[in-house]
Amino acid sequence: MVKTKVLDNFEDKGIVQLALKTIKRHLKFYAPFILILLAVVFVFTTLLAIAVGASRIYKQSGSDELLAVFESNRACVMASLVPEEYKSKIADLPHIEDITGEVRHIVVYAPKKSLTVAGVEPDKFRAFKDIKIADAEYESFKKDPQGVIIGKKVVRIFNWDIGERVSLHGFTFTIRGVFQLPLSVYNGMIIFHKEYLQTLIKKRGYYTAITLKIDSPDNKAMVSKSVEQLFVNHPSGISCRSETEFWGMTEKQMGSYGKNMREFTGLCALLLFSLITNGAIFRLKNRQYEMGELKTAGIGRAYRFHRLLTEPLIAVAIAGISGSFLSFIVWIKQPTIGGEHAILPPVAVTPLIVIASILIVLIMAILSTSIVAYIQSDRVADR
Amino acid sequence: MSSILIYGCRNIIRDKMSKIISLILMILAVVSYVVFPTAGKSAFKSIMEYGFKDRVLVMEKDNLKLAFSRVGEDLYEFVKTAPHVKHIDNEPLVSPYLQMSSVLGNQFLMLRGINDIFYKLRGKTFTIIQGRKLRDQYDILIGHRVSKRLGKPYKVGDILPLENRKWKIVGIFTAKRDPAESGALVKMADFKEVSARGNYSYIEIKADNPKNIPKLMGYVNMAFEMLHDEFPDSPAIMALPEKQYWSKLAGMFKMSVLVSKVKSIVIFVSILLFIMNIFHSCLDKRSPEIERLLKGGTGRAGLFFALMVEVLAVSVVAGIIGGFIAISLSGTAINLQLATILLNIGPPALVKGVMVAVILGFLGTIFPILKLCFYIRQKEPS
Repeated sequence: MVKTKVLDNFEDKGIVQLALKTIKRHLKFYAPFILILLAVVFVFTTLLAIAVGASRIYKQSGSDELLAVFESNRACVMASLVPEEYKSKIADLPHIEDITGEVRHIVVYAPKKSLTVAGVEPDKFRAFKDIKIADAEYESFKKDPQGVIIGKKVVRIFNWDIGERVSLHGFTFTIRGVFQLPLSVYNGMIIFHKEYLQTLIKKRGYYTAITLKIDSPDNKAMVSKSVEQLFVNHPSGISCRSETEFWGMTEKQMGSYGKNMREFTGLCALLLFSLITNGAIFRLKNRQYEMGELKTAGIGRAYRFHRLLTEPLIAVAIAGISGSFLSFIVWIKQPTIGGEHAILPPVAVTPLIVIASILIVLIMAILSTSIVAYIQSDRVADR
Repeated sequence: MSSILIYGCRNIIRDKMSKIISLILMILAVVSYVVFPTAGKSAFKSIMEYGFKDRVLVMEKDNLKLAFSRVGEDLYEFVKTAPHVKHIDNEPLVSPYLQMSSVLGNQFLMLRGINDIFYKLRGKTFTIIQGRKLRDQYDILIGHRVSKRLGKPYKVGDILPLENRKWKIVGIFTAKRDPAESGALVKMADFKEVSARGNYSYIEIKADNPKNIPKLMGYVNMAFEMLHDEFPDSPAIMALPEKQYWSKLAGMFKMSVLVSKVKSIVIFVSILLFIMNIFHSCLDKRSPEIERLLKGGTGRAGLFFALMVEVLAVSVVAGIIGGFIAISLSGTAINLQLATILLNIGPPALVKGVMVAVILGFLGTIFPILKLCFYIRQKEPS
């Protein structure tokens, strides 16, 4: 048998080394291929982080341990009106540990710019929402009926200082503190005293929703049922669901942003898949001679398949890992794109998102490349 | 020349597999390129077309949507006395509404509470195509697009469970330039009762002349501002031209238009890459044959022309098929939270489809064809 370069390489080196050598030899193709893939993976990871954030921001705004009571049949929770007297009626039910009410309103403060404001019971709000705020600031908020506390994101949008008297679209209030939650729509909210906001938005005597803390998660279903039965005569009906579910409904109703981001992420994945598949086809389609030589030497299809598979896979892995990490580094401060919209989530490229992005890219690469490699591994040219 | 043309035509049916795959991919690209942007644009255009030039809306100031707005009943009485309001039979054409989206299964349905003046105000732009007007308790009139929106055929006499009540469908209507066509109308008193709301959502005023809209609005807005200054506790109310409200709302759909455009571009690029690859392999296989033709004295320009004819033929067929598929999708309902709009794809889609397919075919094949025809070296006879 005449020993050729292909067979020499087969004897001397492992598949990975051979693949790396081939990549180096065909740098004219692989350099732009890896760079383009890297850019697309960067965009994909960023979009994935925004899409995940957009969906999680609502659900994480609520807690699975809490129950929300709101008006049924409303397409938008903002339209829900729950009479205040319902709160005392619910409080008398068994298994209720604590109860509070919240009134919400959307303020359009500039064309296409809106902000959610909420009126809460200051004595209860902190016990229900685990906000991070200086004790002195929260105490000063509690004492001032026209005082507000604002989420970290509101500070970024308006640059208000603590102690500042502000007038926003007919709402006059004093900033008493700044709070933060890990990932929550509350970060983009202005929190008022319930009575003051009810007066400002002319919703005296009404909450948007009532929140319940129950003694045990096992009693959730029972409490929900008894609350709904208690207000069976409410004209449009009253629903009692877990707070996470309640916020999930809000996402569905308000979430064209989340939907758009999910669509963009899907499209980016499609582009990525197409680039990887076409790159693999382009590189592997003219290897009949090499495959023929290996086959003549009695080398099995499994080896030939692995040899063809490894080369594009390594290139994709380099691009996938670098692109995802680049995205992690670029967005390390977790900024918010389109900061004027208070409910938008930050671009949070967390280590979990990086891992997910790398895995998705690799799975796509394995799927597409293995099909191409499998077909090409049996296509041999006559010498 | 004719032999080159025959060669090109004959080759179309050679290598059937690659040609069929390319054809299918091109059809997909054409359909997505025509349908997706049209869907986004249709939504935007439909909303822009809502409303009338001679109407003014009275709603809560700076509110996001009419459904979130609240206007007191006393204001309705005041608005009726404003100057430049059109009258019919001494009755001012001012109609109050209570509007909210209600949940029906997984869908939202816009419910609007109306009074009898509504029919007079809308005149010929509102037609009950089946059934009668609202008369009894829990009667409901549904828009002619409701069946498409809810994915179930509804007819007069059917019962619609909404807001914890059973509503009897007494008629089906068309309402020009109004999203109510994909919603439902009920009697104001019924809706107030079932929703436990004491206010109206907004008021619609028909002006005696579109030219008098600024005067009418000026009067109403000045009065509302004075009222608000006098009684700060009263809600801040504003009047605005109906057209202005809908054009503002349409602005919110610009993102959807962008998404649909990006969608079609990404699909176009992905398919272009596949077509490039398919034609590259396909033409690569034919390089010995091309070499032989060149050796036999066939001109390079002629060969280039023959190969382009091949691609062009496939592209034109794909464009026409894709265009027809896109046209057949015309009339498909797209459900927005606000309304249901129908996809409107006309015959120009055929031209657009052919153009897209030709561009796709040209971009996907030009480089391998150029390489094959002009850069291939004829081997010297040994």
